[in-house]
Amino acid sequence: MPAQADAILKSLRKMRCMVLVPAGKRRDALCDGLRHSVGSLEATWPGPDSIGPEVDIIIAAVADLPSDSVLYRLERKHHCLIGLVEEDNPTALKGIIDLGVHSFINRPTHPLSLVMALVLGLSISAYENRLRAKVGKLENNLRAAHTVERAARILARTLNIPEDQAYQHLRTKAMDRREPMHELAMQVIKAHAILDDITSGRTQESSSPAKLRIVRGIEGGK
Amino acid sequence: MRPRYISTSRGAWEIGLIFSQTGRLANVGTSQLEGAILAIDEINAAGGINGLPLSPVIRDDGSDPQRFLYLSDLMLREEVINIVFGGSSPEARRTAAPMFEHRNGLLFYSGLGDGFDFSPNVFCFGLLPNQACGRVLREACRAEAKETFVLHRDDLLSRGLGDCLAREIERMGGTILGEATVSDQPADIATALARLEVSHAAVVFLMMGGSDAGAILKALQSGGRRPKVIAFATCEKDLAPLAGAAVGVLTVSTYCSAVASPVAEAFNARFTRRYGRAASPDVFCEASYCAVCLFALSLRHTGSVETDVIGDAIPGMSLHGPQGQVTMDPESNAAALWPRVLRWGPDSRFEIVVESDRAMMPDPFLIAHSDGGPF
Repeated sequence: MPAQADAILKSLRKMRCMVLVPAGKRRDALCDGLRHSVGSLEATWPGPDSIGPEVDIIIAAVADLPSDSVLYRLERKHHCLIGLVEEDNPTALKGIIDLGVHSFINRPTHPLSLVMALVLGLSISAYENRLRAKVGKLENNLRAAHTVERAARILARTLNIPEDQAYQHLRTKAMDRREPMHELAMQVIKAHAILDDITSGRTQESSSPAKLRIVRGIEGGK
Repeated sequence: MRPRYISTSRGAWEIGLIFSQTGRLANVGTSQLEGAILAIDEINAAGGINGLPLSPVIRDDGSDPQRFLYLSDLMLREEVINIVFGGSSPEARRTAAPMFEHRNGLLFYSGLGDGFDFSPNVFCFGLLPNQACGRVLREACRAEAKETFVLHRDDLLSRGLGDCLAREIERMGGTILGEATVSDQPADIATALARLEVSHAAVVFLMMGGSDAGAILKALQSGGRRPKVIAFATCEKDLAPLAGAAVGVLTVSTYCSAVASPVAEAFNARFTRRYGRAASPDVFCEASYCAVCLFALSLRHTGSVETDVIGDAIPGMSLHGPQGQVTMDPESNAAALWPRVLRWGPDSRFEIVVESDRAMMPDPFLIAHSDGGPF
């Protein structure tokens, strides 16, 4: 068996699985099949108001889900989402796309296809999480570069020095204070915004909306 | 989710070593392999990790990034090994990184970095452009670097270093009189050197190591004027065969056998014992050695080789390497390192011209516009 699949299969036994399927024979059959593969199992309908990060896998009856289901509001950072679809239900296609499932289980379910659906779903959701982490880091870097550039421009203007010298000032100060350069840059930008407000006699409420938006944009990105 | 796909059922911690033992980057790759093997031997001689030895599976990518991708993919898929030490060029690292992310393996890269890259599945132990073109370089050649010439290859390392170097030259108050791109073709080198000759530059920056640097240095020696040469990416194995042609050449590096510290001296002695009296460890050997040691440290702490466990443990970790304290910066997954400017002496060894008094932070995205602050 290929290595990665084997690893995921092993990790399945430690995982917490939540089954969002209306009670009945269909759910019982699914839970019977799952019980051998996953660590712990919880079947519920129509489901809780929120689902915490302790749940690893969510299996949901796609066509039965109410349109305001918690699954449509999930901040999908931890969960692997798997759709349960009926063979003769045409709304299932819309459901699996709208939910953005990582994989799906067809009913009636063959034991091997159940395992395949779980392993595929977990592999894709884990990869998604790694890429999300990478994008997060890259975004932070872009933001930090922008912040440092803005702070250097402010310093250059305020102190009437070349921008390159302003960078060097920022860098030296950051090293002295043992702070990341972009955090110091953020403080410069904030201090400058406050000073600007004071010297122009404005309160924060009366300052221009465009300016507030810029300051907030940077804060929000921290 | 914690995928785990290395097995210790074979009675050992298996790790992959994929370096360029042949081809253009053979000098880099061979040194990397020597460093990794030295570290593995030492760890195993001391009883292994949690009672099990490290067992290397060794492959040669022949200096071909696509071959590196193929071999590491095979290792992850078919050989059930998720930890790979390898890559002898930025091209190899960049080509393979998406595959390591997809298959959730870990790559420990000990070649030189070109920056502008981050991967949660790759750890870098080589100098990044901001670390190579920093304070030590400025201190070593501020006086002469007024009229400079840059020779580069059409590759990632040249491009990555080029940006940083141009800014550094400007900061030193110098100008770049000309640039030329050099390939493996001798005609190319001749054209480039003719342009260099016409420019009357006092300082030449070579952005490549290996046989390219050798050919250029030889040609420079036969020319009339001898400008000061700063060759990035070069190592002892490149310069030793050149005899007199390389004397006086400067490079920026993290390590050579002249580094004076108890850890470095012990490292040199162990290296000589392992590989013979004439051998001395170079920068790539030391980087690869540090990579294996840091991995071993994390494995000892966590007792697990699961990608996610090791991948979480290594950022922020630190060890006393031969070059000094080496710390993995959690922001960039690149190591804080000790840049040094070295000069090739008539005794066919590097001597240290300038060295940093502290580890320099990696800044792959050049955000701090810095030569690296203290870690």
